[in-house]
Amino acid sequence: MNSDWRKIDIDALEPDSHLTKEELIPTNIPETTKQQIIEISQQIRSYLSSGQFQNALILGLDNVPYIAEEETKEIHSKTIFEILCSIKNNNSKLSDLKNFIIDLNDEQQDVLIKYLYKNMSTDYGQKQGGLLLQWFEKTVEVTGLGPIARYLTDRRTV
Amino acid sequence: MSQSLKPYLTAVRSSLTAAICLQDFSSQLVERHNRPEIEVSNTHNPELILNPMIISRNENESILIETSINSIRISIKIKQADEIEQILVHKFTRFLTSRAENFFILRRVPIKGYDISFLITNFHTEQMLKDKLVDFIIEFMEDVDKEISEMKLFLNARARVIAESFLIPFD
Repeated sequence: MNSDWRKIDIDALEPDSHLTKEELIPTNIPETTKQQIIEISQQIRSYLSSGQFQNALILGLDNVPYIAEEETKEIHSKTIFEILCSIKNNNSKLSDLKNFIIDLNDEQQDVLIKYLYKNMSTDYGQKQGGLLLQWFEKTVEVTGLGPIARYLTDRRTV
Repeated sequence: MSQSLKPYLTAVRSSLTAAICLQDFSSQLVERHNRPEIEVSNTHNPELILNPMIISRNENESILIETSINSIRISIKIKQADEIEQILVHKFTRFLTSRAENFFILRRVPIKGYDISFLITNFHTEQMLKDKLVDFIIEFMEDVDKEISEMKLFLNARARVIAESFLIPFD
């Protein structure tokens, strides 16, 4: 027996002592393919062009590619960004935005906050920073700080 | 206050209020150590790091908030419209960071891509009020823009006077 027991690498004896990044991602969600997201974005565009903004917003926020490739997530966040822009462009009053947010359920409001943060970190979102900040302000007015705290801790990233 | 500054600051305020929720946490890797987890390269404990938040007003002004279980890092990108402002911001942040021990929460080196960084740990939130910490960051963001544009005006005025007095002999 090796008498120098202080030098034994005990971590080598128990390799599973820590989590990896991949293990944090929830596994009980089905994967979303690029094809599905493209179909949804086409559906959303047709809603937008016919003026059904609320339906477009709800459709976008209900079908979130949590488990998907980076490219697919990118496409969907751009689609959400388009919805937000076109709602803002067609409703000049700020109080109108609030009505859109009130009509969403809790889950959809949480997802909206996620996409606002995500879009603010992209190039095209930063060019429209003012618009996203107005959306953000109105959402927090409606929901309080809950969705922000859930954004921070949720491993289902968008 | 300008029109787009207000939503920016309220967004930062609500994000910070939600994010500063820290607790004492000993290192899981090294015994008897207690380190700000956000500063440790966390390949071993990714569960301690929360999703980062980026709030941006435009391309030149944004703030990055990175949260972990016992510490939060806030990095601010200050507006720099031209070269003079770049120099002024650089000098101003250097002045502050070289006196970081007097500011408690100021980080000595900013994160890459940002001009100034703060690091708040659970020990700070134990000693100071959370609302006051948030107020301090917001006030800092308001004042720094004012300060920089004021300095720029002074600099231009001074340059004009100097140029005039330099050219008097040739009049």
